[in-house]
Amino acid sequence: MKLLEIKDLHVNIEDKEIIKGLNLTIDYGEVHAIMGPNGTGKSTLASALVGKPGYEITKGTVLYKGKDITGMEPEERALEGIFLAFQYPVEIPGVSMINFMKTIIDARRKHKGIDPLSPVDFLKLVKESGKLVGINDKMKGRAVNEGFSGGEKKKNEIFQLAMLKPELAILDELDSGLDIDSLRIVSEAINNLRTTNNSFLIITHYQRMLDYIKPDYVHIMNEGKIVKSGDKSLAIALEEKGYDGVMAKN
Amino acid sequence: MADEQNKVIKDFAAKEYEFGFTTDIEMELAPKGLDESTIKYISEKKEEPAWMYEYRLKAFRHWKTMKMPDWAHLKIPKIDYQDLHYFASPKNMPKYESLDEVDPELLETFDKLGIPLEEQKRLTGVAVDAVFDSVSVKTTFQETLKDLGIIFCSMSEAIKNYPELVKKYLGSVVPHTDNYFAALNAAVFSDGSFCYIPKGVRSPVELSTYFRINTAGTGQFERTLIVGDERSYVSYLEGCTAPMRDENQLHAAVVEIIAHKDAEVKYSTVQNWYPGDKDGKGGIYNFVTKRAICKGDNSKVSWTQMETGSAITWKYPSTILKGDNSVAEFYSVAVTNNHQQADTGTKMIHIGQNTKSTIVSKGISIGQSENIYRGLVKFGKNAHNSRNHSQCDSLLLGDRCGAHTFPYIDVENNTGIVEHEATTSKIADEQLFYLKQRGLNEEEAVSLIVNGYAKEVLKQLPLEFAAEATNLLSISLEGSVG
Amino acid sequence: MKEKYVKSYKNNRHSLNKFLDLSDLREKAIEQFEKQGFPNSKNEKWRNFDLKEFEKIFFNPFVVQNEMNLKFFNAIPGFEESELFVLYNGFSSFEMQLDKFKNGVIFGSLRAAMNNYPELVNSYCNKINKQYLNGFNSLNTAFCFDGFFLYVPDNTKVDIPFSIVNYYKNTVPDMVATRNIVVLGKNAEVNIVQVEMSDEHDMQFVNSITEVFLDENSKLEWDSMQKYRGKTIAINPVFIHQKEKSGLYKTVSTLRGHKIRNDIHCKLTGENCNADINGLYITNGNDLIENQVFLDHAVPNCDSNQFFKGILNGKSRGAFTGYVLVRQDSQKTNAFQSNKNIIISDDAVVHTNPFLEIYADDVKCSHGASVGNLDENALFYMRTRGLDEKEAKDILLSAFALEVLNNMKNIDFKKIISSEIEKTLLHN
Repeated sequence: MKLLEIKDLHVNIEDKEIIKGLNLTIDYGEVHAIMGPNGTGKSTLASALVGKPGYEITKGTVLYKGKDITGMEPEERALEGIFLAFQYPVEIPGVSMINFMKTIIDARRKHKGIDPLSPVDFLKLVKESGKLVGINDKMKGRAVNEGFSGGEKKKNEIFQLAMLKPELAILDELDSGLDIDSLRIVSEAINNLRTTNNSFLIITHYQRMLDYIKPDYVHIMNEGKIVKSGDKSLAIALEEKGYDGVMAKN
Repeated sequence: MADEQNKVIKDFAAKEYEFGFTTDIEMELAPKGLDESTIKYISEKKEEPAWMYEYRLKAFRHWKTMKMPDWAHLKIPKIDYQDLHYFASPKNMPKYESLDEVDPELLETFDKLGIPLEEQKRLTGVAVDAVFDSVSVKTTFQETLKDLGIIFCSMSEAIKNYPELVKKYLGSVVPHTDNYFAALNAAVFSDGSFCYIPKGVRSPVELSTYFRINTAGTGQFERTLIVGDERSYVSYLEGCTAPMRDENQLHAAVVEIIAHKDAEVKYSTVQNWYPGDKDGKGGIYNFVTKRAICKGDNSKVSWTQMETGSAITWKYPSTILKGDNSVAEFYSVAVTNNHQQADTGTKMIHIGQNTKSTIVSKGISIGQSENIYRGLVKFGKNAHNSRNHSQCDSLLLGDRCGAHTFPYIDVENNTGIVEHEATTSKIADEQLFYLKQRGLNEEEAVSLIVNGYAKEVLKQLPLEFAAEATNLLSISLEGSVG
Repeated sequence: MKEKYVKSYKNNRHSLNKFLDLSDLREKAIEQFEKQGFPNSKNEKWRNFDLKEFEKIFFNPFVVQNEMNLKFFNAIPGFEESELFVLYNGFSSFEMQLDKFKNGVIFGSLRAAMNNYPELVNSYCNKINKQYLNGFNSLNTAFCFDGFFLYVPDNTKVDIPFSIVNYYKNTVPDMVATRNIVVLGKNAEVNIVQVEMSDEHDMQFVNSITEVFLDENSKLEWDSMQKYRGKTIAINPVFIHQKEKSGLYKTVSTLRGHKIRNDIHCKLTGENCNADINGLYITNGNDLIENQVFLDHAVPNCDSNQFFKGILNGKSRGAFTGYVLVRQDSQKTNAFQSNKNIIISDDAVVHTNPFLEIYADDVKCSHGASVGNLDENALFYMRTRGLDEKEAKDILLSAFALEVLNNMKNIDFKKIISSEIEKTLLHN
């Protein structure tokens, strides 16, 4: 059983078909990258996988750990271990990071039938995870994403990823808004979080991120489908020759 | 998601009141009705001196000339003032020396409310003056306070033991002519709390009163008077609950606060009177006049309220900033659900120079309720270099409720700055989705967002209250979600 | 006092109807007035206005037609290129002036329009919901005799502005009751430019009503300048009905006025409307200038924007009430409101009431209000650049005031108003 198997996926937004028969299989411990020009449905795929309202799956199946998740609520998917690092993380005024983290950690533990984390262990986890992504204490005291810079918001996503340790992490344009130093820190954090039991789906525009996080597979998406798959060299070819150049080879 | 949200809101609307229980204690009731003989009855029952009786009588005569105000954005059913009991007290009120002597059933009632006197006395160091219907049951922690010269007792005791202080301050901030409900209160007030902090004394504990309406068909008219003498500090907590009843009950309290030079008074309320059932039946009419005066220079008064109860609320905790450099604050969270109506806000009357006021109001409307912020900011001619900043936000959960903002700003001075901002919004779908992606269900997500929304106000509450208030808010939102 | 007006009406109803035939409407209105009387300050909507004259003075509802002062035209530059219509003490200056253009536009005297196109005029006259009418409005209906009428047929866009001058010059306490109607057909677009002014004179009462009908996808830009010298009391309510996709762009600049009350009552009855209402009031001496806007979002998906500013000097008073009502189910409403005031003198007073009454949840509504003085940091900054305090203040004040005109598309008129504003501020 694979971690994720997407078969012939079709997704509509407001009756317009964006994803048009996409296939993708991700196994435990793998890192996949999806690249492609703007407006080809990369972010739509990410949103559809986590059940964003308004993203209608008209055809196909998404098997996660062997179960079809297409009918599941967003929070059910999340509790089962699917995590999306948002391209544009939302601000939640007044809700402190600490309170937020404790709430989401305990929701997951409750789902697994384990007791809430003790305050001591929780704070330890916060400290460790914060260190990993370079989140300082000042940021932890603020409200979720409120007044964060673009880079801080992205770091905060990976901070949560480190806290929650999901099986499947989808990173939607994580590199946008990150300066080169932050990108390095965040990528190192992700590399540290890699195990044989979890997988990453990286959606990105540029291959620069893939210099830091080495993918096992690279897919090129165009007009709602994966049109070419390969290894890391595909990303390099893409960077050198552009989308048209890579596609022309076919 | 819209459907789901509607369901959430419907479920929330179906939530029942948590504090609906009555206590079977034999009550002594005044006969129903209100005339001069009622005033006499109350005054005699309370063994009051003649001057107090005369004060009441004067107020009553004035009240008879007045009409109930109709300017609020409220639909108030006709109230038959002759069909109410104006006095109720547990029979044979003994004078207790220790809590052991208090009727165990009474204590149990407070246990249910989560404010066991004994517990609070021992563990939290909060001195509680519990007003059970109309008569103060027991004031705790008296001795500690006594050593510091702080007077904290029931209003009845204050009238007996400190007549000069009472005479000096009673009605000095809210005169009996002030408004319809204040006049009624002055005529028939049953009991309440009296608090005097002497010069230079900081009260080491939070003073607390717990109000509770128990007897059917009674009106509760407490009278609270807090005097902070020069350089003193006190933080005062007031909590309110009432049992579930089908008919409406009237509550018309008056709170007066006087802050002398360099004094600071902080007044916090968590109001959770019975709001009526989900069809709007029953519930408390909460018509309250609360007013403070920053009398001396550099004085400070801070109001914080968390309003979740009552069928109808008519309440504007206000501050007159008379002393130079005085400071006033008003922090409010008001939640209305089902058919509740709340018309609440504040008045900041700037008279002295360099005075400063802050207003933060957060309204949350659910169900078919109406939630109104109404506020006045006035800068008098001599209020040089004064400042006001007001922020009034409304959050609507559902499309059958109303959220209204009625600020009045009158400025007669050209050296001050007044700023007012208001917004109206609902919970953004993006916020809900973000939290769900992190594994929270709708209820948890709504609760977290609403708590965040109210944070600015909740953090003003003293620690003992903050937990209760957060709980109350979460309880309010429980069942608001599927 | 009420009885005097009623009596005057009864004595003169025939001659009034000879001027403007409204017989039934007038009868109902005077009955209504008899019931209502004048509003008083206990009425929430009039709490900031001073109504004491109406208890003491009888404003004779008849106006003697005076000689036209032709010099006046020269006083207002920039009008050469527009269609000009002048109401002198409420009367059409040239007897029964009314033009009908090739494109079907009708513009001129209401009285003349009523004679020539009675059906058309009657279908737009007095369509205001009774609950919004106060004693002043009833009195207007009972006594009105003329005013302006503008009718723009469907699919008609007019490039040159229509200019209206209301000029008041009198010496006795008279009431001038004018009635104005503006009708824009579907897809019509037009610009109205209006100047309201009066001479130095004794007490006079201008009591007008303007009704505006904006049909689907029509656009009205309506810019006006008010400069009432003398002791004029002016009550100028405007009632606007907007249908689907229509746009209202209104700017009112009140530069002077003894007691001026501008009410704008705007009802959005079709989706995707836009109402953009801007106002400036500059007060001095014992002036009292009050603006009240009532914006009724009766349907979903509409935008409204209120932007008002005041500069107050002397012992004057300025007041703003902006009322936004978002009715149930009027989802996706965007309503914004802003009122900023600067008090210059020690004795001026400001009242501001930015009200929101909201019954729909998926809306964006906000308001802001402020009262203060000029920004000291900005003043200081300018002084470090070599300006003296007076110069710096003048620049900041006029920048503050002119922001209200930002959305005006009629550049010529914008220039005229701008220079009038600057003159007024300098003079103050």
